[in-house]
Amino acid sequence: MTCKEVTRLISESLDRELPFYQRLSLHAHFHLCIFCKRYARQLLFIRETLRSLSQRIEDPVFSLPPLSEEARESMKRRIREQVLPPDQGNLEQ
Amino acid sequence: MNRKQPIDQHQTSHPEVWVDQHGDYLFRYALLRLQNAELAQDLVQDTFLAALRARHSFTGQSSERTWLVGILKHKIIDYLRRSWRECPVDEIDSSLNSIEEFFDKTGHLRDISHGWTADPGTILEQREFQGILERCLAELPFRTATAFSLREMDGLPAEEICKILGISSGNLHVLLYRARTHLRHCLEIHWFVKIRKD
Repeated sequence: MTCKEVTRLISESLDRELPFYQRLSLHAHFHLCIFCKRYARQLLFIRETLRSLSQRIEDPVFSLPPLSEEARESMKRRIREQVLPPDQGNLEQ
Repeated sequence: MNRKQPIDQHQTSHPEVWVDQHGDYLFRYALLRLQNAELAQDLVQDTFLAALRARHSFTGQSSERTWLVGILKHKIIDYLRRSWRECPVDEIDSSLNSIEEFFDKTGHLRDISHGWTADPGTILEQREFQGILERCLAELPFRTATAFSLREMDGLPAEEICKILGISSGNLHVLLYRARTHLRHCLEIHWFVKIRKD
């Protein structure tokens, strides 16, 4: 197998379980080729980094911006418009 | 008038308070997945309005935030599904290097990288790395980015993503392979090569 085929299989192995013989040939290749072995570790690194990012979106060390004041106000306004009529209805019952 | 409380009083806080309590969280959640602030804002707005309509069915079994995130998730997936159908198929390759370019004629990786020694948790705390990661993610075209974020950020199983997007598993594997190879290369040349030199 060439590195191109191997890297494709490495990526696939992150999404489904590979058949036994394919896993075997991946590991055989890793013994010969440090670059594909690194590629495999790097894909895992990317996976862990993104999962961690998506779980820590509130962490102040991240540069994800908050809602703008304008957006915040407009959301509240829309909610207020929707809340008032039905609630008044409820209270009159 | 004040004596009669709305029936949902002990289940959700007042809807207007949602914006201050959960607005930033929901916005960042959507922004991370869509890379588009205006769109993220619209979906958060829709989420609040949908939550308002469904507020009487909130059981309090999960936290209010989990409940709102659940609604937003559906909104995001609906949006992605719709845009996916409307997106011309040839967009797939347009703005990204083809996989071929990462390999030489004999099928070897062109950028022969060194190991990455960083820790995923702590590397994220570096502003400069965040910026580079963001840039690398933003380079992915729509279909590639969509498949990738459903898989790696939401952690959905491959079969579920195929169902949502209406694609074959072969198709999904190609998109994910492309996204990962691109991202690996992008992080290698913009971050890891540089820190090795310092």
